[in-house]
Amino acid sequence: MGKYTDGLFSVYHVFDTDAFKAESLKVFPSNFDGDKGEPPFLRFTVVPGGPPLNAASTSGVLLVEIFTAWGVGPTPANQIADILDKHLQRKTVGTTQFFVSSADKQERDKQNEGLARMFYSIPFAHFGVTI
Amino acid sequence: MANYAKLIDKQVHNAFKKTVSLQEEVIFNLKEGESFNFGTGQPSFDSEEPVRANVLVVKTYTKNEVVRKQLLIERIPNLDVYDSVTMSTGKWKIGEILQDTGHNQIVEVFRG
Repeated sequence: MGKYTDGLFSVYHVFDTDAFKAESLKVFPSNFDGDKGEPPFLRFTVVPGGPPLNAASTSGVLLVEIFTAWGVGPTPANQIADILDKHLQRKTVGTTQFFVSSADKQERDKQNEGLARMFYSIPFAHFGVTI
Repeated sequence: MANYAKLIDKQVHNAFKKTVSLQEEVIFNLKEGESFNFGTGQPSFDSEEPVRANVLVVKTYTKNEVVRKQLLIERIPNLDVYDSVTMSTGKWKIGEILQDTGHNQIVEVFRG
């Protein structure tokens, strides 16, 4: 596969490990429209918009939207962000390296007012091999 | 209350029967139990089932460069974007449920 697909599958791999599945968090990629059930759940987008090291590499940001029930306060979303850190921060998956995360303020979701949404983001670099 | 529901169901069914000459027989391709498979990178489904139904085409129009139809149907639960409908004009994707009375629905389908 190409560098963009390889980088994306590195992220898929993290969410498909037994260790992450044991956290019992529901994770969906953007542009997946299936039933998500009750919150909490996560929706992620891989943005490969950073400067590449070479023609076979990409870098960018993994954005994760953390959805929790509206009205329960900020604790669950921050606990989930910590779980994401445990599996992503300073971790290397295949030839993809994740760096240091950050999170944005929590706010009411505009599309579904029953949900609160917090953005978690972590920069990554995917190292491809050039011949 | 339950008796009224039965009566309404029957009348909706009768109304459909009376417009039969205007209806088209179609096949809804229903996919249930959708999830995302991180191994393949594709959505996956627990089951896929064809359901034969009669629809009344309320209107056909183009919006944002997409051809759309509004279909009046007797209610089919759980219609979503992963389902489709095969009509005489080909295969259409399921869009918004514009109206749902609990007995019948107006469903937007689209191509593009």
